[in-house]
Amino acid sequence: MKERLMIAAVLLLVSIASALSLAAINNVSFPVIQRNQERQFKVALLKALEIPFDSEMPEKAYNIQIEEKSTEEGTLYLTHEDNQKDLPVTGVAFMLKGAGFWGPLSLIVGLDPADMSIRGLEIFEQEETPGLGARIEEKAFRDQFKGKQIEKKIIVQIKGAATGPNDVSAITGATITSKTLEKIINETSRPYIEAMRSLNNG
Amino acid sequence: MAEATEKGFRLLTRGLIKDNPTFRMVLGICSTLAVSNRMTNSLAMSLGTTFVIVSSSLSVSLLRNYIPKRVRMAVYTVIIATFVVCVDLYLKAFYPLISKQIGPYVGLIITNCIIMGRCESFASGNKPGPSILDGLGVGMGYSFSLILISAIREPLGFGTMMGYQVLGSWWTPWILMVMPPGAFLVLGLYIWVLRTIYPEKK
Repeated sequence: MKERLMIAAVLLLVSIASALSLAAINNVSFPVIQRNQERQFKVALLKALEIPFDSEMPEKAYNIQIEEKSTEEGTLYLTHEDNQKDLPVTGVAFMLKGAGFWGPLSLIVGLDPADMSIRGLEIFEQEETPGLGARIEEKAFRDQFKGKQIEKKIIVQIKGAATGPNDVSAITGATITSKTLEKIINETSRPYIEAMRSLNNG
Repeated sequence: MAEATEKGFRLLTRGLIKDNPTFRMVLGICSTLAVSNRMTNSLAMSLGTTFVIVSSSLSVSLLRNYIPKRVRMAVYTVIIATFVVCVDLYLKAFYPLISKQIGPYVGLIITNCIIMGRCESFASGNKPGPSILDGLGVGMGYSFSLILISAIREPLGFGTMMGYQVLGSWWTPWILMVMPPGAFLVLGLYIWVLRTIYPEKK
């Protein structure tokens, strides 16, 4: 009996000590971790809209230049002429999500509302194969999307060079990731484009 | 005094060659395979794991006379898990990029048999001082393996070292090297070569 009580007491004490110390550490680190995650998103958004920012303080540029607009279809991120909310919209960005090869794949698309062309494309989250699919993060690949028309179908060419006006070249050896990206852009951007239209009309 | 120093030195260096966790005991293989595709990941993992081994060994050694035999494993697990969560939160807060890359493998340090092995076979029967040295030695042995393996895999697979380009543009990245099969190949060769250089003393 005494031995059993001893076992329970030791386990209880060790667990309490562990829980208390972890709670304390979590309290300290939680705000930092949360800020990191928010910062990562804001940086990707600023880059997709080609807004220059101070890499030490991206929040500053974000707070001044970007307006978050919730719509039924999802959140649109807007920039305005001279950063005045009542002046015309000069840039729109939104986040697209889908399933990648190994895990979730999400990206941020920045658009020029004047001609609905892509201004920038940033990969926010990906778990693709290192050295193959993960290369969608590379600037040379992403830059191909610049100037493409979001309202028309964007085609990621697997064989040979991109020839059509709305074509981009796939990453060699990463057929699935390239095609997944194409699918996510073409299939999930529609509601956001609708939301943009109603914004212009309203 | 000189004798004590020598004994301490022997404890510290034992984990490097004679009792090397990777190529001698073949423990901690899962994480070795997973994170050794980049040097930065290897370094972060080495430091994290060494920290957990040393702190767990110290705690177990301090508590060794109070832990009932029947629940010792449960107590070790709670202690190890506490330190692992500390490492995970620390990386998330201060090195978000590394944390994102090695992701779940930080949490999986808990299941690294090296740590449980040191607690059970050494720290539970020795004073805190020797336990720290033993943990540090084994941690260095593990780090040595990770660093050596990633020093082979990263240049061959990405053409880089610590993220910097080391091989010229003539080098075609050998993608296999940074994927799981490459890990098995290099680890197998590593164990073979090191065991040939340092044969097990009968």
